[in-house]
Amino acid sequence: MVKDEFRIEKEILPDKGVVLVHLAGYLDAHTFERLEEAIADLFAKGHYKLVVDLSQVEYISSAGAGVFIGTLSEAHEHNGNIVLMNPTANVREVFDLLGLTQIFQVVDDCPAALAVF
Amino acid sequence: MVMNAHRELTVPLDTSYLSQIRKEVMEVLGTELFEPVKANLIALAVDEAVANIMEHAYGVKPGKAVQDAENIILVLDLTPERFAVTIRDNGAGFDPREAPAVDVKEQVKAGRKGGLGIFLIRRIMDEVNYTSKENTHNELQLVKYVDEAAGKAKSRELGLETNGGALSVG
Repeated sequence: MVKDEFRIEKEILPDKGVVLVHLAGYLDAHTFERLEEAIADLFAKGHYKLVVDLSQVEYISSAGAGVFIGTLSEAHEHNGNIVLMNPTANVREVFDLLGLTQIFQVVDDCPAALAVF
Repeated sequence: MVMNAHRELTVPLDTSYLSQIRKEVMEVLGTELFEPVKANLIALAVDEAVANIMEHAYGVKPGKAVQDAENIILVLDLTPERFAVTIRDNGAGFDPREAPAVDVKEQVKAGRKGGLGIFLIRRIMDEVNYTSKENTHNELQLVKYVDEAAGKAKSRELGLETNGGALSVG
């Protein structure tokens, strides 16, 4: 049986107090809880300025998109934000269908992401 | 050049099988009739449907398989005119056509994330057909036409574009 992998790595950028969250692989109903827990952990530690690197995410379903939808308000309430960076074509297509590109800041690279904060 | 394909899958109640389902769908779709991004969206619609059934019909949680003799059956069919998937289960029935419209902006404000899967299914597929037979099984059929115009006409006919499937963003 095929089992698609999903990986999360976090990188704190001390200058701006931003956390770069690198995601890779497949974000679906089987893997989304790991992202949810990772963001909850960052929020608990006071990190509300997140840049999510989507350049290595090959697939996203509503479960994955739902994590961003479910956490953006909380980031805003604490003067933070969740910026979505460099989504792949498949991921961008799903974001467009859901209208997320009208709600989230979606940027192409790190300088543009950091400029949001 | 393969333009007809048929495949039947029996899937345990375990979200780790979603990746296998997507792989099977992509194999059946091939590369001749649907361009890659569209094929990925079709696989996504099937993924969403199965994930919904696992969660809502059987209460499956990620990483926690439910041992049940009935499983979920998928029948994948490809012809030169269309791709169709029929998904059969014996869990609690829910007609996706009756799901309320989704306001993503309101959901973001409220920190709420439900209902997006059905929304995506309706946006992606041209037909969503559902039957539920008491004490036997539920059957969900999703259809995508190769010809976009034919697909849009069918979608409009069935009210998929306006009947609770509209996206309200702002």
